[in-house]
Amino acid sequence: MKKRMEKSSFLAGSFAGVLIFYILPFGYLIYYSFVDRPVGGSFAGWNNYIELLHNQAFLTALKNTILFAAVSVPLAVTLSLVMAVVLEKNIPGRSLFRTIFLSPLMVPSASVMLVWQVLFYYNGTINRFFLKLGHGKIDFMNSGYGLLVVLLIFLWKNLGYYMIIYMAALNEVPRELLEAATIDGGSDAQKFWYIKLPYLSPSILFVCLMAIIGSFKIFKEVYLLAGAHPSASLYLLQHFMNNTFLAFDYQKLATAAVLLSIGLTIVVTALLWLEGRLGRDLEG
Amino acid sequence: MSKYRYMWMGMLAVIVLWLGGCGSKRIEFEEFPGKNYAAIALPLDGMEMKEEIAHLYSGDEEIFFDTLMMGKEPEEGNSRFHFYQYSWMNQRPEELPISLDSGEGVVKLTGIDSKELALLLQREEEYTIATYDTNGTCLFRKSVTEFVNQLDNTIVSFKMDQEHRFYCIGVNRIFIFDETGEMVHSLETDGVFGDCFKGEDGKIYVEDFDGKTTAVYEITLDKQSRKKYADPVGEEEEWNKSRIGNCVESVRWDYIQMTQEALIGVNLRQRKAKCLLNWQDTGVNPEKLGGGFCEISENAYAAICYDEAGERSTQLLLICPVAEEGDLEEESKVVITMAGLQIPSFLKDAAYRFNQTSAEYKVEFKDYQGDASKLNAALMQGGMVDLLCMEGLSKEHYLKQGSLCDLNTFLANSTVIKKDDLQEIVYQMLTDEQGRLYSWTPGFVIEAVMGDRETVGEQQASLEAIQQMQSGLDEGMELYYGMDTVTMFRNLMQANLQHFITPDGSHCSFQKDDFFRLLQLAETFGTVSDEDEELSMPQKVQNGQVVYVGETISDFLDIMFYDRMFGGKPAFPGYPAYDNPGNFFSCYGMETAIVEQSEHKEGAWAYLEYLTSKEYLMQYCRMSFFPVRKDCIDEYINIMSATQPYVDSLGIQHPAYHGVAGYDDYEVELGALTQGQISEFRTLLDHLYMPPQLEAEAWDVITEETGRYFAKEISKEQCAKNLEERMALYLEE
Repeated sequence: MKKRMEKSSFLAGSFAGVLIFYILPFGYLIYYSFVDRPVGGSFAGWNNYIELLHNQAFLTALKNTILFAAVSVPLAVTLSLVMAVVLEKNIPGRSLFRTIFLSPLMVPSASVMLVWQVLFYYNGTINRFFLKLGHGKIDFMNSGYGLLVVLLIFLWKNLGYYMIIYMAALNEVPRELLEAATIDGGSDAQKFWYIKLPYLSPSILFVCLMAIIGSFKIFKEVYLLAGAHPSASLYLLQHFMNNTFLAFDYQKLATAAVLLSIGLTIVVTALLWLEGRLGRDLEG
Repeated sequence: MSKYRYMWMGMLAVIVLWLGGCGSKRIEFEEFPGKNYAAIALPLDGMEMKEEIAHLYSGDEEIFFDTLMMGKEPEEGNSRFHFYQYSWMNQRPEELPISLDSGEGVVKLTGIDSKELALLLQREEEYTIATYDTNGTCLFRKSVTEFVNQLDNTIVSFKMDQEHRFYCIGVNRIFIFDETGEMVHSLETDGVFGDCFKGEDGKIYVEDFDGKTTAVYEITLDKQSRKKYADPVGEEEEWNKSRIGNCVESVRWDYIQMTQEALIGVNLRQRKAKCLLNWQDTGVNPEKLGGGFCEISENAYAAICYDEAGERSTQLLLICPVAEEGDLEEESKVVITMAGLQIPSFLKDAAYRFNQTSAEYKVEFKDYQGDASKLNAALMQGGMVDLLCMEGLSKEHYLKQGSLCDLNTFLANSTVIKKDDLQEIVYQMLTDEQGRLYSWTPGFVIEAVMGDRETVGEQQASLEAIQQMQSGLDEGMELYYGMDTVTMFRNLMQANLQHFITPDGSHCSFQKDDFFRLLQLAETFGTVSDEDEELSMPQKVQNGQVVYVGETISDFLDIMFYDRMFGGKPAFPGYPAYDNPGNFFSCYGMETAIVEQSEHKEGAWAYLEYLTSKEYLMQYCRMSFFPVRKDCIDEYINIMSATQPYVDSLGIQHPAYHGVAGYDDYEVELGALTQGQISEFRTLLDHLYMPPQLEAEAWDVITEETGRYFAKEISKEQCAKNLEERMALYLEE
C-alpha cells in the first residue's frame, strides 16, 4: 500500500501537468462546443455542430484545407525523401545544398512574405514575366492559383526540415545489408525499395504526421499574403477560426476545433495502424 | 573545468564589485564639453543607467530624444545643480543653459534647488518617477506607467516646486503630490501644456516652447473685492488688461470650461456658468491652445494658455482653485470598467466628471488599442467588463453572443431620461427590429451632402442625374468638393450599403448593374491634387465652382455657416442612393453598450444616464455633437436663436450669439439662428439614414477589390465577383 502511495505521488506531478495543460483545455473546448454563448451560456445540444456543418464559410474553409492537405502532404513527403536520397550520395556541394534547403526554417516568415508578394502580386515579377512571354496576367490571389502559391510556400518552408529527418533515418539503415545487396548485384533502385524504404517507414510516418498537421494549421503565411478575409480559394480553416474568435463567436470556434481534432485523430490513428503493419513486416 | 574556476570567480567578483558600485547614493553626471553629445551615468540607488540608454545619449547624429537634461555636480558650498539642455536642433548643449524647472524631455530631472530635492523621471526598462534628496536617498519611487494609470488622466509633463511638491500635469487636471508620493491636491484645468512659473520675485513668468519668456505678470490682490488680478508687466504691457481681469474673475468658478466658442466659468454648487471670454474677441484659436501653470498662493494656481498657431502668441492667464482629492472616498466606490478598442477622450472626460459627481460609482477604462482578441479574452472571463465602447466593434457580433444588455428596462425605470426625451430618429436607429435597445449614445452628428437649392433642387438626385451632371461639368468645376474616386466610392457605398447587403447581414450581392453604376460614377471623379486647393471650399461655392459639398454637421454653428455659404438656400439632398435619403446619421465613437454579464449594470447605466443628463449635455457637449435629448436640442435652439441674453433652464445665462466663422478667403458673421435654419435642421433630422455598421476588415475588403478595379487591374465584373465572394465569406462567418 505504501509503495503504491509512493508511486502515485511520483506520478501526481506529471498527471497534474497533463491534466492542466492538455486535458482541461481540451475539455473546455468540448464544453464550449455544446453551449449557446461564450459567457453564461446554456446547453445547446448538437446545435453548434449542426450550424457549423451548414455554415458555408466553414465548408469552404474545410474543402480548401482538405484539398491543400491532399496535395501538399504527398508532395512534401515524397519530395523531401527524394532530396534526402540525392543528398545522401556523395555529390559535390552536398553540405551547401543541405544548408540552402534548411535556410527557410531559419528565416522569419514575415520577412520572406514580402518577397512572395512581390513575386505573385497582380503586377508582380511573375506576371511581368508572363507579359513578356505574351501570356496574360494571372490573378494569383483571387483564383485557383492562390492555393498553388500557398503550396509552394508550404513546401519551401518545410521540405528542408523533413529532408533532415529522412537523412537521419537513412544513416540508420544497416550498412551490412546494403553491402550484402551490392555483392548480390542489387541495383540502387532495388536497394532503396527493398532495404531503405522499409527502414524509413517510421520516419515517413512521422513526416506524414507533421505534414498533415502543418497543412491543417497553415495560416500565418496566407494571412500575411492575403489578409484575414482572402478570396474563397485561399480561405482555410485557420482563417475561419481566427476570424470567429475576433468576432467573439467562441462556441463556433470551439466546435470547429473539436471537429478538426477528431478528423486529425482519425487520420493519425490510421497512419499509426499502417505504420504498425509495416513495422511488423520489417520485423518479420 | 577546474582551470576555468579562477576565471569564473574573478568575473563574479568583478560583477559583485560593479553592482556594489551601482549602489552608490551619489548622483554623478559626466559631460564631454565641446562635443555635441553627453554620456550620463546615474549610479543612483541601484538605478544605474542602462548601457543602451547611455548609448542613445552618446550617439551624436542619431540621438533619439529631443531634449535631454544634463546635470553638473554641486560644487562645494553651493547646493545648486546646474543643468543644461540638449537640443537636437542646435546640437550644442553647452549653449543652452536653462532654468531649473523648465524644459521637457523623456528624461527629466527637476526641482533641485535650495530645498535639495529632485524629481527624477528616468528610463530604465520602463520610465520611473522618483524623488531624491541630494544625499541620494530615495523618498518615493514608482513606475510611471503604474503611477500615471492611477491618475485616470493623460499626463503630459512632470514638475516639482520649491515646497517639495511634485506635479503631474494632465490634459484636464494637475495632480499634486508631496515628496513621498501622497496626493495632496488635484487641480482641474483644461488644455494646460508648456510652462508657466512663479519667479523668485513673485511674478509669474510665461515661457513659450523654446523656453523664451513671452510674458510676465504681477499678481495683486484687491482687498475690497477679494479678487486677484494678474497685470502684465514689462514689455508686454500692450496686453489687454481687461481680458486678464475677466479671467481672474474665474477664481470664483469651480470649473473653467474651454469650449470651441468661449471660456466658460462654471459654479457647480450654484449651477451657474458665465461666458468669461469669447475666443472671437481675442483672436485665439481655441483648437491650438496650450500653456503652463504655476502656484500663486495656497489656494490658487495660474494656468497659462496660448495660441501657438496664431501669428502672435496670444496668452491668457487663468486662476484656478484647488480641490482636495478624496482618495478614501474614491476607494469605496464600485468600479465600473469600460473596455473598447479605441475609447475616445470625450468618454474618458465624461467619466472623470461622472466620478466626481457619483458617490457610488467610479468609471475606469481598459483600452485595448485595437486588439480585439484581448478584449474578447477579457469578456470571456465574465464580469471583468461592464461597459463596451462600440467604436471599431460590430454590435451584431456581440449581440449574437448575448453579450449586450437590452437597455429598455433601464430606460423605463430611469428618473433622469425617458424614451420620449430622446430624438425619435436616434431611438429608431439604435433599436433593432424587435424594439430592443442595445446601445446608447449621448449625441450624434450628420454626414450630409449639401448644395444650393436653386442649383441642385430639394430632392435627392438619382445616380443617372449625377452621372449626367458630372459629364456635363465645365472646365474648373467640381461636382462634389474635394472628392476623389476612392472617397466618392466609399461615400456612395455607405449610402447604398443596404442595397447590396441584406439588413440582417446574411447575404450580399454585388454582381449587378447597380453596383457597376456606382463604380462607374466614382471612377469619373479621378484624383484630387493639392494644387486644386488654392481656394477654400466656401469660396469655391461662392464662385460657383462647386455644386455639392459633403461635410459633417455637428452643431448649430455648422447649420448657420452652411446656410450662409449657400446664400440662405441650402438643400440637403444627400448622396445619390437607390433606396434611402443619403444623408447619414452617425455616432462615431459615442456608442456604448452595457455588457450582459456585468455585475454592476446599475452603475454602468448610471454612467450612461449621466452621459445623457441634461446637465452634462448642456454644459459640455454643445459644441461637439447634437445631443440625443429633444429638450437639449430645443434649449440649444433657444440659446442660439436668442437675440437677447438668454437664461436656460439650468439658470445659465447665455449672451446673444454673435461670431465670425470661415476660412482665410471667406469669412461670414454669424448671428442668431433663424427660423429658416431651424426648419432646415428639423427637415434634415427627419430624413436621415443609418448605414449598416461594417467592421474595418470588411471595408478593407471593399477598398482592396474596388481599388484594383480603379487601378484597371481587373474588370468591373471581376471586381464584383471577387467582392461578393470575399464579403460572403465575411458575412457567413
